[in-house]
Amino acid sequence: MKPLRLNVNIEKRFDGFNLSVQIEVGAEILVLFGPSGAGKTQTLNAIAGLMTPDAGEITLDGTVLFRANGTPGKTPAVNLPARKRHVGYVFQQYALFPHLSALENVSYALWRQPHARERAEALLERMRLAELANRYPHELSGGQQQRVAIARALAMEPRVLLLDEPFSALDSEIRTQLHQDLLRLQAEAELIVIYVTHNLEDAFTVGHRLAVVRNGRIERTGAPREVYPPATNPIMMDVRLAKESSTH
Amino acid sequence: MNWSALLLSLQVTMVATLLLFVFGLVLAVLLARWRLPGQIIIEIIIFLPLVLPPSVIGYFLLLALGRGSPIVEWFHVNLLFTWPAAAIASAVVGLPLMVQSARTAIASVDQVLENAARTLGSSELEILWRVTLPLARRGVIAGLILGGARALGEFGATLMVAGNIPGQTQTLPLAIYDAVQGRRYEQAQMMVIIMTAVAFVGLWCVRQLEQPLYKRKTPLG
Repeated sequence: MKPLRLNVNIEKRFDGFNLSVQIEVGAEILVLFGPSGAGKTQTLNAIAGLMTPDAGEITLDGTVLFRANGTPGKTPAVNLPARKRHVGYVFQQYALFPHLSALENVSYALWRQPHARERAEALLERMRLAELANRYPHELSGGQQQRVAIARALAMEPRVLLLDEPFSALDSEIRTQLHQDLLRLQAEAELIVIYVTHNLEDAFTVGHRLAVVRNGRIERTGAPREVYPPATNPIMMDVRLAKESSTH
Repeated sequence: MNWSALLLSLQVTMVATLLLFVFGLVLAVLLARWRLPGQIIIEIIIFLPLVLPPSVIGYFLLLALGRGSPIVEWFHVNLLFTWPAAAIASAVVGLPLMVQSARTAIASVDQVLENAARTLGSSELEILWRVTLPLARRGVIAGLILGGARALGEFGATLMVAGNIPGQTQTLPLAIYDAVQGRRYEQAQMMVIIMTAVAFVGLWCVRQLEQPLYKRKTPLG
């Protein structure tokens, strides 16, 4: 499979906040790391087609997903709707459909395709959820729900997978397990993964590259050890970020 | 017991409920998810039947369905003093209850779920059909029951646009009025009991629908 590249170069003016992001991502896990309110989720929303930037361009291996025209605020020249972007999105609070079982959630995107059930079952198997296929989201633990959410996002075989604080509500043991799952899935499918977190430990565990987002801008990008050298204490970084979050 | 009035009431209520389902649902979706120009005016018009006297609603319906109205001029259909006119009058008075209940239910569906469906390849209509309406179904059904019950009990506007013709446009509420006027109290009593029982069961169903949809059954980590 040909390796893809996702190029994001967007600007968006919010009330009292300007988002201006330029990133280039290949088949890797790029961690967007920064305090709450820095613009990480809005960047994911723009890539997924859930938010329309004022200016800029988003391309996936040369295919234009979004291109603004010259005048900010006018109808964009290209703006593929979210449903046509084939970008998988795992939301912070799982966002599983509560009226559908785990299997039905995973097969949601496949309903018009042949062998939808078998494909959904295979995905659940891959996420070690085969025995819970008929359970509804409210009957699953947080970690199980998040694995269903990942399986659901992968069902339509996206080349880009976005994860917004995916494991922040889970305890560390389950997080470690899910990090391993994510690294395995990324390597198997050569996915472009953008992983949003404000937890530096998470960022170091899964990130091939790290982009520090602050006040709507990418401040630094590089391998985690380059961005935060070993002398940097991750726990202290978390404390610093928490302080910064509370001031925003 | 006036069986023809009972049967006609059922017929009128069924058609009115069907009209409520179609028009009420469309209006509820539009009001819950879109910012329409002149939205407040549209809402006020929909909710006017809640506060206007039935005679005023009847008067407006006479204008809408009578000679010179677009329905008569364009489609050459004169519905006045027929049972479909009674169904339309019943639907109009039931509409606010349907729209209010369905709109609240639709607006309370988490938009993150709709966004999730968008990223999974769904069109807006598909999201409505597969995510929003299934999650809002209790409010929609409650609205239909309330609107249908109100339609069943419609009296004033029906009298003005459909008349009170026994066997043709005389519904249960009109038959009760007639029976009381004619001092046939036993007949009236039976019909009153039926209407009260239907209303009671309807409201009981609405109360049941107010229970939470998805309760966590076991404590999970």
